[in-house]
Amino acid sequence: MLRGMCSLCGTLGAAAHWSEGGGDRTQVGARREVLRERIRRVVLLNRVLAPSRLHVDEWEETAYILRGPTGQSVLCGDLAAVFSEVQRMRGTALDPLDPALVKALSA
Amino acid sequence: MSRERIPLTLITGFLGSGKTTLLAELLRDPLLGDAVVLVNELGEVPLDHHLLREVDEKTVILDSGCVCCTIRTDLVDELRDLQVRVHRGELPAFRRVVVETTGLADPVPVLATLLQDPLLAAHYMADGVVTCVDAVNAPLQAERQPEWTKQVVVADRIVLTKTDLGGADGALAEALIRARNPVAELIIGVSGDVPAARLIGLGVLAEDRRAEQVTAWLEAVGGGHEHDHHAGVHAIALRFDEPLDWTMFSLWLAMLLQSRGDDVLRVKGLLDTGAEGPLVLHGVQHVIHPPTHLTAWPDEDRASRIVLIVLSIARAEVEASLRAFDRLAKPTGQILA
Repeated sequence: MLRGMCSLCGTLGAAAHWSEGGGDRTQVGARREVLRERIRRVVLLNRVLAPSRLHVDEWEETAYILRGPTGQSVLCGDLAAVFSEVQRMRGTALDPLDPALVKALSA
Repeated sequence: MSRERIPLTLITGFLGSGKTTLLAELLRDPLLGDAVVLVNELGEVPLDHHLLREVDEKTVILDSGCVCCTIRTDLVDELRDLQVRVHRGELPAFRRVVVETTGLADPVPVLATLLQDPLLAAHYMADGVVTCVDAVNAPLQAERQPEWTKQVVVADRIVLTKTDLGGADGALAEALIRARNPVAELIIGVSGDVPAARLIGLGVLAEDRRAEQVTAWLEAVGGGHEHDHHAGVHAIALRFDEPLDWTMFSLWLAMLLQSRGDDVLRVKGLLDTGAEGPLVLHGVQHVIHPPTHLTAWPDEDRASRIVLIVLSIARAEVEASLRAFDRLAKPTGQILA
């Protein structure tokens, strides 16, 4: 099952992505809290992706839909998959250390 | 996870660093009496097998090449099959697994496999990474072999071998190791004669030991004493006095791992996310272990502290980026100090 799968890839029925586990909820699995965090993650993602003309929507509490500037869309299981698809759509990875991106986000 | 998971020790080290000698010695110790040992042969002569044949049917030779790269599936299959055979009564229950990698292996995918495969994640847990370093050849390997660096960076214990041979410079080898791994306990093991208890049963990922592990890293690298002796690999220590927005931080880190994953060798941190206790962050390359919240801080310092072991990434760019991302997540007036 794992042959050829990049260790970055969080799909294929693997365990939950690490980013899903660090919220401030005291009751892990509290659905409302999980959803609130997912929605907030989408809001923040869209701020980060805006300079690249990409957009993300939450989908059924289980995935994210990444939409490109020309209308293409792809379902992503978690954050790792989102950034992997962002890389595919842009042709290059979105680097958080890129001075141009840091400048755009600081504007 | 309610059931107790079986600890898995990874023994790694560059070609000729003494892994097999060490393993052969370890297998004499009663601590490994009920361990399953997975060894790997690379090349035509199954040298490892001949040296380890005393372990009998508990030794499983993986068939095809390198454990970490080409046959990770085989490792998954082997570890799954062991569970099945125990349940069928074909194999006595075992309490530990030891995996010896090849000298050219990247140990990280083995750790990733343990987390990513749901069945393996339920039954096994990484106990620790033991890396053998050849004191004679360390300078050359550090300079020319990226595998050497990877094996040293991920280590929880480092066994320095061949210090008794002519040409060995233990002090230089130690300096090269410390520039890449400031925390791992360094043990001199000339002929693999290291007590098993110093290498086995480390429990580095056990819930109750994570804070201790991270604190050791923060103390070793923090306080501005960053290990930046090496042009490539170096440690970055970051400190933020105001709470970090975890949602944005996790987004930033996921993005960093996607774009610069090969350059981020280790991540450790205690993060103030606004909760009572800190969030413990622990990662090796792309492998980030599920963060855990502590109920209380381990010391008086309540600031977020993060250590990154990186290649070719400057501290200033990391800090500027993190601050910009965090600002984006917060209303004006709550930005990082």
